[in-house]
Amino acid sequence: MLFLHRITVENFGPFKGIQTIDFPPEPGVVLIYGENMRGKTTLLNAIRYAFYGYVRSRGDHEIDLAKIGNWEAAAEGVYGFRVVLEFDYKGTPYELTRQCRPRPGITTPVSSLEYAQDTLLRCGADVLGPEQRDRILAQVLPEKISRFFLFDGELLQQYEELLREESNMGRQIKESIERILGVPVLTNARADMRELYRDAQGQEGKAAQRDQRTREFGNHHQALIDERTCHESELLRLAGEREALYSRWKAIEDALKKSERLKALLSERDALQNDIIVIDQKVTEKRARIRDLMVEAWRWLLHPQVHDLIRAMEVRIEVLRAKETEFAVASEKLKATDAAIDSGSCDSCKRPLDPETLITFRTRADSLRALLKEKVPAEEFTALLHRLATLKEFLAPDHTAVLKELNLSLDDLRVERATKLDRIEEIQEQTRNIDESEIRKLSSDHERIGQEIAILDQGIQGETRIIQELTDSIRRVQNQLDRLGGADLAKERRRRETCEHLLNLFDQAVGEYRDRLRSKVEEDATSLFLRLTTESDYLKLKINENYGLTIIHKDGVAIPVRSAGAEHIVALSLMGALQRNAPLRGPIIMDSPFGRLDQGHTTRVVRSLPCMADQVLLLVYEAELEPRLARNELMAQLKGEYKLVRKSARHSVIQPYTE
Amino acid sequence: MTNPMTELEGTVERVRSKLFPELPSDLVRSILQSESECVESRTEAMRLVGAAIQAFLDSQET
Repeated sequence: MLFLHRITVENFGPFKGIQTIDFPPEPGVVLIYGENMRGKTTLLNAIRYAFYGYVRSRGDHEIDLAKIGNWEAAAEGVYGFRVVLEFDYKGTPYELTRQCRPRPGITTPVSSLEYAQDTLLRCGADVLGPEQRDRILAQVLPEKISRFFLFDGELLQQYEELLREESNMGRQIKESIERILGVPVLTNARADMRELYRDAQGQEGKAAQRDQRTREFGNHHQALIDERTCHESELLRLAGEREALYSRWKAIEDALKKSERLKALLSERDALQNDIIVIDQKVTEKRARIRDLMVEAWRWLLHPQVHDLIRAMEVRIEVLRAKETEFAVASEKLKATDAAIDSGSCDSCKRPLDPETLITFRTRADSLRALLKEKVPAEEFTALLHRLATLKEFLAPDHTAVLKELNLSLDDLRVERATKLDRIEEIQEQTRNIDESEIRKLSSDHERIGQEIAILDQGIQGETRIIQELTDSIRRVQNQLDRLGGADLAKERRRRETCEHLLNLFDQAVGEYRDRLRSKVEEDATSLFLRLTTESDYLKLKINENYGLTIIHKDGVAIPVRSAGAEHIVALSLMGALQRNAPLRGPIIMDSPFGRLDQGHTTRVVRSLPCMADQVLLLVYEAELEPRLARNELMAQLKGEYKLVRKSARHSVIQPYTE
Repeated sequence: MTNPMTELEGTVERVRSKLFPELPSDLVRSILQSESECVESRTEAMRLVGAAIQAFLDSQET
């Protein structure tokens, strides 16, 4: 249990000279008010600097030490800075000093390379040696879990990642959560026991080799262990390679997810470009068809005249045909008339012709002969038929309707093309500053690494199977050795059995402890959440494998999406639950945590702060948390109030708060 | 508030007494203590755990 007593800063950020905050020894809340740019985040960073020797910006980048010292002090020729933390850890008082000063011979340092850092840890009157100092500091507030003790509003937003399966950040936060809950105590014990068990197996084999009666089994045992060690090394190599590849694959996947909209736009653009290629092909085909049709089109212009001509020719042919018929009839009549004149009798009734009739016959024969003198123009008739056939051939089918259809369809295609081009322009505008090749590379890398991981998985499966087979074989040889063996072997066997039992014990305990923790964290987080939230329809929080928390409505349905404010409330509930269940405990130091909360939630959070940790230090601005509200809600739990007062843009002073 | 370290030890003790009663609880507690103090120093933890087991085995022989 870590408890802060005092922090002293000297020329650290806006805090010029030596300035101190005393924390009362009783559990409770200390409030430090400060408007923007007065040094609230700097105070959080001063604590971080004291423990870890670095300072981070809001964007989580490490800040160059040369930029941390007070500017006014530097202008007066005083470079460097110092932070002193006085605290209790497991009931023992410590004083931690970390300072940064110019290296000897450097009068005006400009980069961190020109500064030297000293870290001093006192325990009572003793100054601890570097090794002991580092060992204690690693226990007091391990860096990996600092996010649960030193945080701001931005950090609270990250806990949503725990609800995302396979999120890299979620995995890191889960590791931190398990670290604060003490799970590594058990997982490390299990790993150590596995290693010691392997050693014990080796020792047992060696002992068997030393004894005449068991040498043969001992040699076999040792050979199997050596072989298994080789496969274990290979498995380790493959697993390491897989983990590295998987991290890259995950990072690429995260990047790809972020660029999903962009990818969708680029895919849309590619599809549009393909559509335009298809449209252009259609346009080319239709234009070729129009060109082909237009070769014959001039004939269609002459169709009316040609039709008139054909009609006239057909009339003339009819006339000629009629004349031909008339000639034939006249010729037959003339033949009959001439025969009657020649025979002097009627050809039909055979009666003799009287003179008067004969004269009539002769007159008719003359007129028929006169008629037959006019010849039918056979050449004209043939020529007419030939010309008629030619003209009919000339009349090619009329494709005007098809041409019209084609032209309309060309217009449609033109409009479609223009619309698609416009959309492409729009997409190009939206993706103007995006490195498209980078995204394409990400996609191909993602696929390639995925395939490599699949190959590694096959290798891992193969090695795991072989190792299991070898382990079974080792076990069989051990059983045979158990039946033989001397005193030396019996001793090593006891070691091996003890290690094996311990390994199985910790293996079993890891699962049980995790299950128990999850259930307790869920229970405590729910209890805190129901105190913090103003929404009475919320029933509980439900924990997942990653310690991610989902809000459950009283109708039993999970709330799928939550606001930034709700996210803060859930994250604070998780923080409180972790503090309650963590073997490692310490003060919670929050920087501007109420920015996204309404007054109702702020009031409830303030009221619940004493339940979250024994010692809470709040860095806030007055509009975020009114001092009167804080006093009303915290009452006796409010142990101290300070204010960061402006002297100049580069100089703030820490003062006890007065109205 | 419960003592979480006791919670962890309690879980391990429950498993020990149920499944591995032949293992002494002192030895298990000693291993947990070493692991708890040396989370950031794995080599040291392994050395301490190995020493605890050796001490236990030695005590069995005498």
